[in-house]
Amino acid sequence: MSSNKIVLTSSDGESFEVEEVVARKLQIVGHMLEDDCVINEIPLQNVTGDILSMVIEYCKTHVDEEESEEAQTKLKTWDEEFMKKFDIKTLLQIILAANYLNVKGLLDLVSQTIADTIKDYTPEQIREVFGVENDYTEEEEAEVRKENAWAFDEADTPKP
Amino acid sequence: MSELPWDIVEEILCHVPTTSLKRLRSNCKRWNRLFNDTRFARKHFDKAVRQSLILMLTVECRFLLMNVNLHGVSARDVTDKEEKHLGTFLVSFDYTKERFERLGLPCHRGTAAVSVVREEKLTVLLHDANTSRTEIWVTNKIDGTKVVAWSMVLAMDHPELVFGFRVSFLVDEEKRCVVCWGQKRMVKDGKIHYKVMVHIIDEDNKVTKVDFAPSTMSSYRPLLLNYVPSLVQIQ
Repeated sequence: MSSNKIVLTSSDGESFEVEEVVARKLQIVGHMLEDDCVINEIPLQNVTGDILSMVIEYCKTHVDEEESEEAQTKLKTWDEEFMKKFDIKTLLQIILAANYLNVKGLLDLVSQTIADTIKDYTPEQIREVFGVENDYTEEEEAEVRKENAWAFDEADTPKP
Repeated sequence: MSELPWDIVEEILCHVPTTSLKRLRSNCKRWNRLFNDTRFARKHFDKAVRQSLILMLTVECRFLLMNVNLHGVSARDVTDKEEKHLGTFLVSFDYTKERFERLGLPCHRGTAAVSVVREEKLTVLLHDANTSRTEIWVTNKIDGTKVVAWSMVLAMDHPELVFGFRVSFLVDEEKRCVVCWGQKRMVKDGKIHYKVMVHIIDEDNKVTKVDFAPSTMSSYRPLLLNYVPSLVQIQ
């Protein structure tokens, strides 16, 4: 594998020099390289430097994904520890970046982490996180809540 | 917080467990519509972590849903739950050879009941009414190539617990507990009564009893089933 270096530049002008194999984990970069193989500096308009550095950290760790069970377990543990560092706001920024840069593994990982975080949120907290407007009338909301009452009960039971 | 693109919202929501999604129906109409969408339901079924709740079918055809906090267990098909009183062996059918085969039990005395663990292992409950000893045995993963071997996961001795014919039970390997119903012997006005109660037995042999039904139903033998909530609707 070539050890070509590629420079990735964030929207706020921060530059990261990474090996081509790492950069190719960002599928958006992979496609650009296929279209024209002489580029060695790539501007990434929609990602800030602090988020991009986290995406690169993920890609570096996942650069050679071994099949062995031991390697998989190690990666999984790393993923869990990596995700613990971020609050919900940062996670949402990472998911946007993973989607834009097209990093499939990271997209799945962050989706699952956000899902695990919000599953015990109240509807009000969820609305705030997702910027969702409640468009139900009071009667309609009561009706929906009534239909799904058992799910509300379940939320009140203590989690192990 | 700025609004997320809809495809990302969908990506996140298909990882949220079903019971939590039900609560999110009241968030807004668009989310409610999404959860009714067959395409989303299938995507969710593939991606979300399977939850496991316990469904109990009583003779009066009442379904009772229990949450014993059994997390992370997957067992979708409850119809292949066998329950046989065969004496000393189970019968298995090999589809590739189209032949019936005998599957020996680890040992046998008194009552025996069969259940499945995670769609991949068999488990038996063996109860000896004379000594009041009950054992739970689980097989290795059955994949057709390996020899079936039993190992005992739990042995209990609770004289007040009587397992009658057609006892129904579930094993949760992750939480290391067994859920079953048993009859509790009670003496009232000089007569012996049996009250059916759900028992949760953990690995330390501690028994938690749950009285699940009004007294009028107490003489019936309920069927315990694994229930995995899903948005997918039966067509």
